[in-house]
Amino acid sequence: MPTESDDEACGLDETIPLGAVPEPSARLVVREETPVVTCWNQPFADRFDPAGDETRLRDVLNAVTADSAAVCSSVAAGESAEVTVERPDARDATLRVQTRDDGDRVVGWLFVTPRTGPGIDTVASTLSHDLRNPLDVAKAHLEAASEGSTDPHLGQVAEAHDRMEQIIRNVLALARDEEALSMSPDVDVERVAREAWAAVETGDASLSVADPPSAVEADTDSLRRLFENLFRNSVEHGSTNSRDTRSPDDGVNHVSTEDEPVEIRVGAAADGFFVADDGAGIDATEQSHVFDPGYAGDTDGTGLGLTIVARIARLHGWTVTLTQDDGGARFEFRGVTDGRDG
Amino acid sequence: MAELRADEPSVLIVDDEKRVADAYALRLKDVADVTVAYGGEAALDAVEAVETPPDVVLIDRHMPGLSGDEVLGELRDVGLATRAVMVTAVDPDLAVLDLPFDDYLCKPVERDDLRAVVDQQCRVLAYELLGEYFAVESKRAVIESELRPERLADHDEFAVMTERRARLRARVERLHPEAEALFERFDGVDREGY
Repeated sequence: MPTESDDEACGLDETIPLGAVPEPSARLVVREETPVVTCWNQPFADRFDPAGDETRLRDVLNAVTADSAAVCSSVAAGESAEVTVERPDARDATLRVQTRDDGDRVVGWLFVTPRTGPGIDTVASTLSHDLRNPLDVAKAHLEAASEGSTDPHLGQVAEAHDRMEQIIRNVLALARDEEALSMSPDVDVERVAREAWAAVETGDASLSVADPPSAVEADTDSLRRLFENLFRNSVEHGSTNSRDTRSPDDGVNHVSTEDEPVEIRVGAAADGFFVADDGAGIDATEQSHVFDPGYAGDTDGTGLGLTIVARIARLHGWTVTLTQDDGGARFEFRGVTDGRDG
Repeated sequence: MAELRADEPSVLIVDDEKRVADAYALRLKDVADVTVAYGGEAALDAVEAVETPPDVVLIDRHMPGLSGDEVLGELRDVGLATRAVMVTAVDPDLAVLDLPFDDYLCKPVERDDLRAVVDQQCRVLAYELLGEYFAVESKRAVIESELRPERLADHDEFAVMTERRARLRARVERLHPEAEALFERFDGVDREGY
Protein backbone atom coordinates (compact mmCIF):
# COMPACT_ATOMS: atom_id res chain seq x y z
CA MET A 1 0.00 0.00 0.00
CA PRO A 2 1.41 3.39 -0.86
CA THR A 3 1.35 5.49 2.26
CA GLU A 4 1.72 9.10 3.11
CA SER A 5 5.13 8.51 4.54
CA ASP A 6 6.28 8.14 0.95
CA ASP A 7 5.17 11.43 -0.52
CA GLU A 8 7.25 11.12 -3.65
CA ALA A 9 5.62 7.82 -4.46
CA CYS A 10 2.30 9.61 -4.29
CA GLY A 11 3.53 12.24 -6.66
CA LEU A 12 2.10 14.93 -4.44
CA ASP A 13 3.85 17.57 -2.45
CA GLU A 14 1.69 17.84 0.60
CA THR A 15 2.61 18.21 4.20
CA ILE A 16 -0.44 16.94 6.05
CA PRO A 17 0.37 13.26 6.51
CA LEU A 18 -2.43 10.85 5.78
CA GLY A 19 -1.06 8.58 8.46
CA ALA A 20 -1.93 11.16 11.07
CA VAL A 21 -5.56 11.35 10.03
CA PRO A 22 -7.76 8.94 11.98
CA GLU A 23 -10.53 8.82 9.39
CA PRO A 24 -10.24 7.28 5.90
CA SER A 25 -8.15 9.63 3.76
CA ALA A 26 -6.40 9.41 0.42
CA ARG A 27 -4.70 11.50 -2.21
CA LEU A 28 -5.44 11.48 -5.87
CA VAL A 29 -4.34 12.93 -9.16
CA VAL A 30 -6.28 13.41 -12.39
CA ARG A 31 -4.72 11.59 -15.33
CA GLU A 32 -6.31 11.87 -18.76
CA GLU A 33 -9.51 13.10 -17.15
CA THR A 34 -9.61 10.13 -14.82
CA PRO A 35 -9.18 10.69 -11.09
CA VAL A 36 -6.75 8.10 -9.73
CA VAL A 37 -6.21 7.46 -6.04
CA THR A 38 -2.47 7.23 -5.55
CA CYS A 39 -1.96 6.76 -1.84
CA TRP A 40 -4.08 6.27 1.23
CA ASN A 41 -3.99 5.59 4.92
CA GLN A 42 -4.88 2.39 6.73
CA PRO A 43 -8.45 3.46 7.66
CA PHE A 44 -9.06 4.10 3.95
CA ALA A 45 -7.70 0.66 3.07
CA ASP A 46 -9.88 -0.92 5.73
CA ARG A 47 -12.95 0.94 4.52
CA PHE A 48 -12.62 0.69 0.75
CA ASP A 49 -10.25 -2.22 0.18
CA PRO A 50 -8.51 -0.68 -2.86
CA ALA A 51 -6.75 -3.03 -5.25
CA GLY A 52 -3.12 -2.59 -6.26
CA ASP A 53 -0.88 0.42 -5.73
CA GLU A 54 -3.31 2.74 -7.46
CA THR A 55 -6.99 2.61 -8.05
CA ARG A 56 -9.55 4.64 -9.94
CA LEU A 57 -11.62 6.94 -7.80
CA ARG A 58 -14.72 5.63 -9.51
CA ASP A 59 -13.98 2.09 -8.41
CA VAL A 60 -13.68 3.33 -4.85
CA LEU A 61 -16.87 5.33 -4.97
CA ASN A 62 -18.96 2.70 -6.74
CA ALA A 63 -19.03 0.70 -3.54
CA VAL A 64 -20.48 3.49 -1.45
CA THR A 65 -22.53 5.82 -3.62
CA ALA A 66 -24.64 5.89 -6.73
CA ASP A 67 -23.22 9.28 -7.57
CA SER A 68 -19.72 8.06 -8.36
CA ALA A 69 -19.84 9.14 -12.01
CA ALA A 70 -20.93 12.66 -11.18
CA VAL A 71 -18.34 13.01 -8.45
CA CYS A 72 -15.58 11.78 -10.75
CA SER A 73 -16.64 14.19 -13.48
CA SER A 74 -16.49 17.08 -11.05
CA VAL A 75 -13.09 16.04 -9.74
CA ALA A 76 -11.74 15.56 -13.26
CA ALA A 77 -12.84 19.11 -14.00
CA GLY A 78 -10.91 20.36 -11.01
CA GLU A 79 -13.94 20.88 -8.84
CA SER A 80 -14.39 19.75 -5.28
CA ALA A 81 -17.26 17.43 -4.42
CA GLU A 82 -18.86 15.67 -1.53
CA VAL A 83 -21.36 12.89 -1.02
CA THR A 84 -23.02 11.33 1.96
CA VAL A 85 -21.97 7.76 2.59
CA GLU A 86 -22.84 5.27 5.24
CA ARG A 87 -20.22 4.20 7.71
CA PRO A 88 -19.81 0.56 8.73
CA ASP A 89 -21.56 1.44 12.00
CA ALA A 90 -24.54 2.67 9.93
CA ARG A 91 -23.98 6.29 10.89
CA ASP A 92 -23.80 8.84 8.10
CA ALA A 93 -20.49 10.25 7.08
CA THR A 94 -19.43 12.78 4.52
CA LEU A 95 -16.97 11.84 1.80
CA ARG A 96 -15.26 14.91 0.45
CA VAL A 97 -12.90 15.33 -2.43
CA GLN A 98 -11.03 18.60 -2.52
CA THR A 99 -9.08 19.49 -5.61
CA ARG A 100 -6.39 21.88 -6.60
CA ASP A 101 -5.34 22.82 -10.11
CA ASP A 102 -1.57 23.04 -10.19
CA GLY A 103 -1.59 24.24 -13.77
CA ASP A 104 -0.22 21.11 -15.40
CA ARG A 105 -2.35 18.74 -13.38
CA VAL A 106 -5.23 18.50 -10.96
CA VAL A 107 -4.51 16.93 -7.61
CA GLY A 108 -6.85 16.20 -4.77
CA TRP A 109 -7.43 14.92 -1.30
CA LEU A 110 -10.22 12.58 -0.32
CA PHE A 111 -11.37 12.18 3.22
CA VAL A 112 -14.32 10.76 5.08
CA THR A 113 -15.50 12.49 8.22
CA PRO A 114 -18.28 11.60 10.59
CA ARG A 115 -21.18 13.95 10.28
CA THR A 116 -20.85 16.72 12.78
CA GLY A 117 -24.26 17.81 13.86
CA PRO A 118 -26.45 18.77 16.73
CA GLY A 119 -25.06 15.98 18.85
CA ILE A 120 -21.55 17.34 18.97
CA ASP A 121 -22.79 20.91 19.17
CA THR A 122 -24.99 20.02 22.09
CA VAL A 123 -22.23 18.21 23.93
CA ALA A 124 -19.82 21.07 23.36
CA SER A 125 -22.31 23.70 24.47
CA THR A 126 -23.29 21.73 27.54
CA LEU A 127 -19.69 21.11 28.44
CA SER A 128 -18.77 24.73 27.95
CA HIS A 129 -21.74 25.86 30.01
CA ASP A 130 -20.77 23.57 32.83
CA LEU A 131 -17.18 24.77 32.70
CA ARG A 132 -17.83 28.46 32.32
CA ASN A 133 -19.75 28.83 35.56
CA PRO A 134 -17.12 27.36 37.88
CA LEU A 135 -14.47 29.22 35.92
CA ASP A 136 -16.27 32.48 36.63
CA VAL A 137 -16.47 31.58 40.30
CA ALA A 138 -12.78 30.75 40.45
CA LYS A 139 -11.81 33.98 38.69
CA ALA A 140 -13.95 36.13 40.95
CA HIS A 141 -12.42 34.68 44.10
CA LEU A 142 -8.93 34.90 42.64
CA GLU A 143 -9.50 38.58 41.89
CA ALA A 144 -10.55 39.11 45.48
CA ALA A 145 -7.55 37.20 46.78
CA SER A 146 -5.19 39.08 44.45
CA GLU A 147 -6.12 42.55 45.67
CA GLY A 148 -3.06 43.90 47.39
CA SER A 149 -1.24 40.59 47.05
CA THR A 150 2.03 39.95 45.23
CA ASP A 151 1.90 36.21 45.70
CA PRO A 152 3.32 34.74 42.47
CA HIS A 153 1.22 31.63 42.90
CA LEU A 154 -1.90 33.67 42.23
CA GLY A 155 -0.48 34.72 38.87
CA GLN A 156 -0.01 31.08 37.98
CA VAL A 157 -3.62 30.39 38.88
CA ALA A 158 -4.72 33.29 36.67
CA GLU A 159 -2.72 31.86 33.77
CA ALA A 160 -4.36 28.49 34.32
CA HIS A 161 -7.77 30.18 34.17
CA ASP A 162 -6.81 31.87 30.91
CA ARG A 163 -5.78 28.53 29.50
CA MET A 164 -9.10 26.98 30.51
CA GLU A 165 -10.89 29.78 28.68
CA GLN A 166 -8.81 29.14 25.59
CA ILE A 167 -9.64 25.45 25.73
CA ILE A 168 -13.35 26.20 25.96
CA ARG A 169 -13.14 28.52 22.96
CA ASN A 170 -11.21 25.92 20.99
CA VAL A 171 -13.64 23.13 21.81
CA LEU A 172 -16.53 25.29 20.69
CA ALA A 173 -14.71 26.24 17.52
CA LEU A 174 -14.04 22.61 16.71
CA ALA A 175 -17.64 21.68 17.35
CA ARG A 176 -18.92 24.06 14.72
CA ASP A 177 -19.52 22.60 11.31
CA GLU A 178 -19.89 24.04 7.87
CA GLU A 179 -23.31 25.41 8.60
CA ALA A 180 -21.67 27.75 11.08
CA LEU A 181 -19.78 29.48 8.28
CA SER A 182 -21.21 32.74 7.09
CA MET A 183 -19.48 33.37 3.82
CA SER A 184 -18.83 36.86 2.50
CA PRO A 185 -17.66 37.39 -1.05
CA ASP A 186 -15.13 40.16 -0.50
CA VAL A 187 -13.23 39.68 2.73
CA ASP A 188 -10.09 41.79 2.94
CA VAL A 189 -7.33 39.48 4.19
CA GLU A 190 -5.11 42.31 5.42
CA ARG A 191 -7.89 43.91 7.43
CA VAL A 192 -8.83 40.62 9.08
CA ALA A 193 -5.17 39.80 9.75
CA ARG A 194 -4.61 43.14 11.45
CA GLU A 195 -7.78 42.73 13.53
CA ALA A 196 -6.53 39.33 14.63
CA TRP A 197 -3.13 40.78 15.46
CA ALA A 198 -4.76 43.36 17.71
CA ALA A 199 -6.58 40.61 19.58
CA VAL A 200 -3.48 38.54 20.37
CA GLU A 201 -0.89 39.31 23.01
CA THR A 202 2.05 39.86 20.69
CA GLY A 203 4.68 41.29 23.01
CA ASP A 204 7.74 42.43 21.07
CA ALA A 205 6.74 40.51 17.95
CA SER A 206 6.03 42.44 14.77
CA LEU A 207 3.66 41.97 11.87
CA SER A 208 4.19 42.97 8.27
CA VAL A 209 1.48 42.53 5.69
CA ALA A 210 2.35 42.65 2.02
CA ASP A 211 -0.50 42.66 -0.48
CA PRO A 212 -2.48 39.59 0.45
CA PRO A 213 -5.73 39.13 -1.51
CA SER A 214 -8.07 42.03 -0.87
CA ALA A 215 -11.37 40.30 -1.67
CA VAL A 216 -11.61 36.60 -0.91
CA GLU A 217 -14.65 34.46 -0.29
CA ALA A 218 -14.50 33.57 3.38
CA ASP A 219 -16.21 33.58 6.73
CA THR A 220 -14.72 36.62 8.42
CA ASP A 221 -14.93 35.36 11.99
CA SER A 222 -13.36 32.02 11.12
CA LEU A 223 -10.62 33.68 9.12
CA ARG A 224 -9.88 35.96 12.08
CA ARG A 225 -9.65 32.93 14.34
CA LEU A 226 -7.30 31.27 11.84
CA PHE A 227 -4.98 34.26 11.97
CA GLU A 228 -5.24 34.55 15.74
CA ASN A 229 -4.21 30.94 16.19
CA LEU A 230 -1.31 31.25 13.77
CA PHE A 231 -0.10 34.52 15.30
CA ARG A 232 -0.38 33.10 18.80
CA ASN A 233 1.57 30.08 17.68
CA SER A 234 4.33 32.15 16.09
CA VAL A 235 4.59 34.63 18.94
CA GLU A 236 4.75 32.02 21.63
CA HIS A 237 6.78 29.41 19.83
CA GLY A 238 8.38 31.25 16.99
CA SER A 239 11.80 32.40 18.02
CA THR A 240 12.23 32.94 21.68
CA ASN A 241 13.66 30.05 23.61
CA SER A 242 12.08 31.10 26.85
CA ARG A 243 9.56 28.50 27.94
CA ASP A 244 7.97 31.05 30.23
CA THR A 245 6.51 32.89 27.29
CA ARG A 246 5.12 29.87 25.56
CA SER A 247 1.50 29.77 24.69
CA PRO A 248 -0.97 27.85 26.74
CA ASP A 249 -2.15 26.66 23.37
CA ASP A 250 -0.50 24.13 21.17
CA GLY A 251 2.05 24.93 18.58
CA VAL A 252 4.86 24.10 16.32
CA ASN A 253 7.77 23.00 18.41
CA HIS A 254 10.41 25.26 16.96
CA VAL A 255 14.04 24.59 17.58
CA SER A 256 15.20 27.92 18.85
CA THR A 257 18.69 29.19 19.36
CA GLU A 258 18.05 32.92 19.55
CA ASP A 259 16.09 35.16 21.82
CA GLU A 260 14.96 37.73 19.27
CA PRO A 261 11.38 38.91 18.83
CA VAL A 262 9.70 37.04 16.07
CA GLU A 263 8.66 38.80 12.88
CA ILE A 264 5.52 37.52 11.25
CA ARG A 265 4.64 38.12 7.64
CA VAL A 266 1.33 37.80 5.83
CA GLY A 267 1.36 37.94 2.08
CA ALA A 268 0.04 36.65 -1.19
CA ALA A 269 0.63 33.12 -2.42
CA ALA A 270 -0.48 31.43 -5.61
CA ASP A 271 -4.29 31.48 -5.42
CA GLY A 272 -4.14 32.23 -1.75
CA PHE A 273 -2.08 33.70 1.05
CA PHE A 274 0.57 32.71 3.54
CA VAL A 275 1.55 33.37 7.14
CA ALA A 276 5.24 32.98 7.90
CA ASP A 277 7.60 33.77 10.73
CA ASP A 278 11.34 34.13 11.00
CA GLY A 279 11.64 31.79 13.93
CA ALA A 280 14.49 29.42 14.46
CA GLY A 281 12.85 26.63 12.55
CA ILE A 282 10.60 23.67 12.93
CA ASP A 283 11.82 20.44 14.31
CA ALA A 284 11.54 18.06 11.38
CA THR A 285 10.22 15.31 13.59
CA GLU A 286 7.29 17.49 14.58
CA GLN A 287 6.21 18.72 11.16
CA SER A 288 4.04 15.77 10.37
CA HIS A 289 2.04 16.09 13.57
CA VAL A 290 1.34 19.75 14.08
CA PHE A 291 -2.22 19.60 12.76
CA ASP A 292 -3.14 16.55 14.76
CA PRO A 293 -5.80 17.06 17.44
CA GLY A 294 -4.16 16.83 20.81
CA TYR A 295 -0.71 17.51 19.49
CA ALA A 296 1.10 20.13 21.52
CA GLY A 297 4.55 21.47 20.95
CA ASP A 298 5.16 21.79 24.64
CA THR A 299 4.05 20.15 27.80
CA ASP A 300 1.34 22.65 28.71
CA GLY A 301 -0.28 23.11 25.34
CA THR A 302 -3.88 22.31 24.54
CA GLY A 303 -3.13 20.85 21.15
CA LEU A 304 -6.08 22.35 19.35
CA GLY A 305 -4.94 25.68 17.90
CA LEU A 306 -3.41 24.41 14.69
CA THR A 307 -6.03 21.71 14.38
CA ILE A 308 -8.56 24.52 14.23
CA VAL A 309 -6.46 26.29 11.60
CA ALA A 310 -6.52 23.17 9.44
CA ARG A 311 -10.23 22.72 10.04
CA ILE A 312 -11.09 26.28 9.10
CA ALA A 313 -9.05 25.89 5.93
CA ARG A 314 -10.80 22.66 5.09
CA LEU A 315 -14.26 24.09 5.71
CA HIS A 316 -13.43 26.82 3.24
CA GLY A 317 -12.19 24.29 0.70
CA TRP A 318 -8.62 25.54 1.04
CA THR A 319 -5.50 23.46 1.38
CA VAL A 320 -2.92 24.31 3.98
CA THR A 321 0.71 23.37 3.75
CA LEU A 322 3.41 23.83 6.35
CA THR A 323 6.92 24.39 5.09
CA GLN A 324 10.19 25.96 6.13
CA ASP A 325 10.62 29.54 5.03
CA ASP A 326 13.99 31.16 5.61
CA GLY A 327 14.32 28.99 8.66
CA GLY A 328 10.90 29.82 10.08
CA ALA A 329 7.49 28.28 9.68
CA ARG A 330 5.36 29.08 6.65
CA PHE A 331 1.69 28.17 6.49
CA GLU A 332 0.38 28.53 2.98
CA PHE A 333 -3.30 28.52 2.11
CA ARG A 334 -4.28 27.75 -1.46
CA GLY A 335 -7.46 27.27 -3.36
CA VAL A 336 -8.75 30.55 -1.98
CA THR A 337 -11.58 31.95 -4.07
CA ASP A 338 -11.20 35.49 -5.28
CA GLY A 339 -14.56 37.06 -4.44
CA ARG A 340 -14.35 39.32 -7.47
CA ASP A 341 -14.39 36.32 -9.79
CA GLY A 342 -17.85 35.29 -8.76
CA MET B 1 -32.90 44.05 50.77
CA ALA B 2 -30.18 46.35 52.09
CA GLU B 3 -30.82 50.06 52.02
CA LEU B 4 -29.61 51.89 48.97
CA ARG B 5 -26.43 53.82 49.42
CA ALA B 6 -26.76 57.32 48.10
CA ASP B 7 -24.01 57.13 45.49
CA GLU B 8 -24.26 53.58 44.25
CA PRO B 9 -26.60 51.90 41.80
CA SER B 10 -28.69 48.96 42.93
CA VAL B 11 -28.01 45.68 41.15
CA LEU B 12 -29.99 42.46 41.40
CA ILE B 13 -28.08 39.32 40.41
CA VAL B 14 -30.20 36.35 39.38
CA ASP B 15 -28.50 32.97 39.03
CA ASP B 16 -29.61 29.56 40.24
CA GLU B 17 -26.02 28.61 41.00
CA LYS B 18 -25.38 30.17 44.38
CA ARG B 19 -21.63 30.27 43.93
CA VAL B 20 -21.92 32.01 40.59
CA ALA B 21 -24.35 34.62 41.91
CA ASP B 22 -22.15 35.20 44.94
CA ALA B 23 -19.08 35.49 42.69
CA TYR B 24 -20.68 38.28 40.68
CA ALA B 25 -21.77 39.96 43.89
CA LEU B 26 -18.17 39.81 45.05
CA ARG B 27 -17.08 41.54 41.88
CA LEU B 28 -19.63 44.34 42.21
CA LYS B 29 -19.81 44.89 45.95
CA ASP B 30 -17.44 47.87 45.86
CA VAL B 31 -19.31 49.70 43.13
CA ALA B 32 -22.95 48.81 43.67
CA ASP B 33 -25.55 47.92 46.24
CA VAL B 34 -26.01 44.26 45.38
CA THR B 35 -28.82 41.85 46.02
CA VAL B 36 -28.69 38.22 44.91
CA ALA B 37 -31.57 35.91 44.03
CA TYR B 38 -30.88 32.21 43.54
CA GLY B 39 -33.62 31.59 41.02
CA GLY B 40 -36.32 33.18 38.87
CA GLU B 41 -39.09 33.14 41.46
CA ALA B 42 -36.79 34.58 44.11
CA ALA B 43 -35.84 37.34 41.68
CA LEU B 44 -39.44 38.42 41.17
CA ASP B 45 -40.04 38.27 44.93
CA ALA B 46 -37.02 40.52 45.46
CA VAL B 47 -38.28 43.03 42.94
CA GLU B 48 -41.76 43.09 44.47
CA ALA B 49 -40.34 43.61 47.94
CA VAL B 50 -38.85 47.01 47.21
CA GLU B 51 -40.43 50.32 46.36
CA THR B 52 -37.78 51.31 43.85
CA PRO B 53 -36.83 48.58 41.41
CA PRO B 54 -33.19 47.64 41.00
CA ASP B 55 -31.36 49.86 38.55
CA VAL B 56 -29.78 46.88 36.82
CA VAL B 57 -30.77 43.21 36.85
CA LEU B 58 -28.21 40.62 35.79
CA ILE B 59 -30.06 37.49 34.71
CA ASP B 60 -28.79 33.99 34.03
CA ARG B 61 -30.82 32.41 31.23
CA HIS B 62 -30.50 28.74 32.04
CA MET B 63 -32.32 28.20 35.33
CA PRO B 64 -34.72 25.53 36.56
CA GLY B 65 -38.24 26.69 37.30
CA LEU B 66 -38.68 30.20 36.04
CA SER B 67 -36.05 30.66 33.37
CA GLY B 68 -34.07 33.82 32.83
CA ASP B 69 -36.04 34.56 29.68
CA GLU B 70 -39.28 34.30 31.65
CA VAL B 71 -37.95 36.54 34.41
CA LEU B 72 -37.03 39.09 31.79
CA GLY B 73 -40.52 38.87 30.31
CA GLU B 74 -42.14 39.39 33.72
CA LEU B 75 -39.99 42.43 34.42
CA ARG B 76 -40.95 43.94 31.10
CA ASP B 77 -44.64 43.11 31.49
CA VAL B 78 -44.91 45.13 34.68
CA GLY B 79 -43.04 48.00 33.05
CA LEU B 80 -40.34 48.45 35.63
CA ALA B 81 -37.77 51.14 35.05
CA THR B 82 -34.85 48.77 35.25
CA ARG B 83 -32.13 47.73 32.86
CA ALA B 84 -31.83 44.01 32.17
CA VAL B 85 -28.61 42.28 31.20
CA MET B 86 -28.47 38.61 30.38
CA VAL B 87 -25.33 37.03 31.82
CA THR B 88 -25.22 33.49 30.63
CA ALA B 89 -23.27 30.54 29.34
CA VAL B 90 -26.03 29.85 26.84
CA ASP B 91 -24.72 30.63 23.39
CA PRO B 92 -27.05 33.14 21.76
CA ASP B 93 -29.14 32.02 18.82
CA LEU B 94 -31.94 33.56 16.79
CA ALA B 95 -34.29 33.26 19.76
CA VAL B 96 -32.61 36.29 21.31
CA LEU B 97 -34.25 38.42 18.63
CA ASP B 98 -37.46 38.23 20.65
CA LEU B 99 -35.89 38.87 24.03
CA PRO B 100 -36.27 42.42 25.36
CA PHE B 101 -32.90 42.60 27.14
CA ASP B 102 -30.63 45.63 27.18
CA ASP B 103 -27.30 43.80 26.98
CA TYR B 104 -25.99 40.26 26.73
CA LEU B 105 -22.81 38.92 28.31
CA CYS B 106 -21.45 35.44 27.70
CA LYS B 107 -19.73 33.72 30.57
CA PRO B 108 -17.03 33.75 31.66
CA VAL B 109 -17.16 37.48 32.29
CA GLU B 110 -14.21 39.63 33.31
CA ARG B 111 -14.70 41.79 36.38
CA ASP B 112 -13.92 45.00 34.51
CA ASP B 113 -16.40 44.11 31.78
CA LEU B 114 -19.09 43.36 34.35
CA ARG B 115 -18.53 46.67 36.08
CA ALA B 116 -18.39 48.54 32.78
CA VAL B 117 -21.72 47.11 31.67
CA VAL B 118 -23.38 48.03 34.95
CA ASP B 119 -22.01 51.55 34.63
CA GLN B 120 -23.20 51.85 31.02
CA GLN B 121 -26.68 50.65 31.85
CA CYS B 122 -26.91 53.02 34.80
CA ARG B 123 -26.12 55.97 32.57
CA VAL B 124 -28.68 54.89 30.01
CA LEU B 125 -31.25 54.47 32.77
CA ALA B 126 -30.34 57.89 34.16
CA TYR B 127 -31.20 59.52 30.84
CA GLU B 128 -34.43 57.58 30.57
CA LEU B 129 -35.43 58.73 34.03
CA LEU B 130 -34.21 62.22 33.28
CA GLY B 131 -36.62 62.38 30.36
CA GLU B 132 -39.45 61.32 32.66
CA TYR B 133 -38.34 63.84 35.25
CA PHE B 134 -38.34 66.68 32.73
CA ALA B 135 -41.86 65.76 31.63
CA VAL B 136 -43.18 65.56 35.17
CA GLU B 137 -41.34 68.62 36.40
CA SER B 138 -42.43 70.81 33.53
CA LYS B 139 -46.04 69.83 34.18
CA ARG B 140 -45.70 70.36 37.92
CA ALA B 141 -43.96 73.70 37.48
CA VAL B 142 -46.52 75.12 35.12
CA ILE B 143 -49.39 74.09 37.41
CA GLU B 144 -47.63 75.48 40.44
CA SER B 145 -47.06 78.79 38.71
CA GLU B 146 -50.74 79.15 37.78
CA LEU B 147 -52.54 77.95 40.89
CA ARG B 148 -52.40 79.23 44.43
CA PRO B 149 -50.67 76.96 46.97
CA GLU B 150 -53.73 76.53 49.10
CA ARG B 151 -55.64 75.14 46.15
CA LEU B 152 -52.89 72.67 45.37
CA ALA B 153 -52.47 71.56 48.96
CA ASP B 154 -55.48 69.28 48.86
CA HIS B 155 -55.02 68.10 45.31
CA ASP B 156 -54.15 64.38 45.46
CA GLU B 157 -53.03 64.06 41.87
CA PHE B 158 -50.67 66.97 42.26
CA ALA B 159 -49.26 65.41 45.41
CA VAL B 160 -48.64 62.11 43.62
CA MET B 161 -46.92 63.92 40.80
CA THR B 162 -44.76 65.86 43.22
CA GLU B 163 -43.74 62.68 44.98
CA ARG B 164 -42.94 61.00 41.68
CA ARG B 165 -40.83 63.97 40.69
CA ALA B 166 -38.83 63.66 43.91
CA ARG B 167 -38.24 59.94 43.39
CA LEU B 168 -37.14 60.45 39.79
CA ARG B 169 -34.80 63.25 40.76
CA ALA B 170 -33.22 61.23 43.56
CA ARG B 171 -32.70 58.26 41.30
CA VAL B 172 -31.12 60.33 38.54
CA GLU B 173 -28.83 61.94 41.09
CA ARG B 174 -27.74 58.53 42.24
CA LEU B 175 -27.15 57.19 38.72
CA HIS B 176 -25.62 60.09 36.82
CA PRO B 177 -22.46 61.81 38.07
CA GLU B 178 -23.41 65.08 36.36
CA ALA B 179 -27.06 65.07 37.36
CA GLU B 180 -26.95 68.40 39.16
CA ALA B 181 -25.64 70.20 36.10
CA LEU B 182 -28.40 68.64 34.00
CA PHE B 183 -31.05 69.78 36.45
CA GLU B 184 -29.61 73.29 36.56
CA ARG B 185 -29.74 73.61 32.79
CA PHE B 186 -33.35 72.44 32.78
CA ASP B 187 -34.30 74.82 35.58
CA GLY B 188 -32.50 77.64 33.81
CA VAL B 189 -35.04 77.70 30.99
CA ASP B 190 -37.80 80.34 31.40
CA ARG B 191 -41.07 78.47 30.79
CA GLU B 192 -43.52 80.88 32.36
CA GLY B 193 -43.53 83.76 29.87
CA TYR B 194 -45.56 86.79 30.99
